[in-house]
Amino acid sequence: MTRRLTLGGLLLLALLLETTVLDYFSIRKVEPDIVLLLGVFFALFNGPAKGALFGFIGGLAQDLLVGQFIGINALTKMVTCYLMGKVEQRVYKDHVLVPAGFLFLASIINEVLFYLIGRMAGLSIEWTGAFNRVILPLAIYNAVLAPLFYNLFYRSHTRGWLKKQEY
Amino acid sequence: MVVFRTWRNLIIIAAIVTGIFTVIIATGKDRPGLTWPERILKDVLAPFQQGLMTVTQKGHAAWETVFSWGEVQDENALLKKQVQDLRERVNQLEEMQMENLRLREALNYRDGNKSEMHLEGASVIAREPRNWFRSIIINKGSSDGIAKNMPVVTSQGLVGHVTAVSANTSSVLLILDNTSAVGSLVMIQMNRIPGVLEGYDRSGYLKLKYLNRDAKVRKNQKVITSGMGGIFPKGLPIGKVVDINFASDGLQKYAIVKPFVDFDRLEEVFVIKQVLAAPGLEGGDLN
Repeated sequence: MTRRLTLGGLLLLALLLETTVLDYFSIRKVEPDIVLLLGVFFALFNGPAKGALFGFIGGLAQDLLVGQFIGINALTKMVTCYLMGKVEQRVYKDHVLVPAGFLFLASIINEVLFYLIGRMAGLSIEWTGAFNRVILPLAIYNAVLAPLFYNLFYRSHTRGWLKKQEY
Repeated sequence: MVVFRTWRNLIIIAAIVTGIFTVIIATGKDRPGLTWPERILKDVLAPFQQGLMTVTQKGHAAWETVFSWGEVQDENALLKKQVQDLRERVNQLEEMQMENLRLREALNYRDGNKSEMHLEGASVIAREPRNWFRSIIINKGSSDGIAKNMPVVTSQGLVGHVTAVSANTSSVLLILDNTSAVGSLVMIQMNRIPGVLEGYDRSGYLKLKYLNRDAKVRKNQKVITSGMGGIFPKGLPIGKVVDINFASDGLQKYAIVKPFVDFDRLEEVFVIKQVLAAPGLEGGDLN
């Protein structure tokens, strides 16, 4: 129960930060996607199914706040977190560069999916501009931020509120 | 069994994705209103968002202030320097304006007296640092034709006379000096009462001595040079009577005269090199 509440609280906090504070931390009008960051961290420790579920809920919450193209973030984050969860057992999660690499990769996948689905749903975005101005800078920004929060998440997951219940 | 499960999973995923796609496309257009999950989420987050935004904005403003502190200091220093520069400039311009007025006045004086006197304009370059004499140094000397005993005037009136000459400078003893009385007989303008003028106790006023006890001397009368004494031509304005007293012997009286020339602000003067004709005496013929 504590674990779920903590996850819910973290998700709400991420949404709050994204809609308020992060506006002041945007670099070249790009803000980091900390819901994705949270989803990828979660998937790395909990596998594809739970990761996909977290990604879906987090993405859906983002969509509901934006109020347009509802489901687009839910879908992209679900797929991205699923894929990140899939490689969970194959990586050594203690190294600080691992989350940075994962976040970079996850951001690229997530944003490319967003672009493709957006195009299908009627968004008119030009690829070069989208990649240069959004996808790549966002991936770098997320990758840089990842090591800063990873230790906290890691500790909470091994010893703190996010630790799995053992039956 | 495994095949069945795979197919089932695929169908479920396809259904979910299709469902999501439908929602994405449906919500991509303008909608009449928000759905209940959207309303709940927005309403739950709103107070927190507001609080966080307020804190963030204040923090950001404080950060901006701190961040731009150096810039503000630089700007302040620059503005202070500009203010100082502009102040100096204004002072210079005011000085120039004053000089312009003085020179214009001097020029008028010179032009007005062209037919009567041969004048040489000069600037005061120093005041002699002597306690017992009141004299100035001007920037014209013997190379400009200046000679000892030549009278010095401004457009306001008499200044003094040349006491020493070098090639490029001259010393001028002011009429304020106690020793300048030598040979400077003066007249009270309307009544033609002669007297001798000298400095009065270093007060900036002049003392007109040896006036007859019965002389009709009144306040505000104008005092001019008489032409007697060999130094000053007649008719140069000196000042006006501000007080009259009896001398200690009781037989004579004296008048205190306030000079027309402001000796504290003496900057440009004229040396009378030659008197061509009797100056336009406001007091008429003195002889």
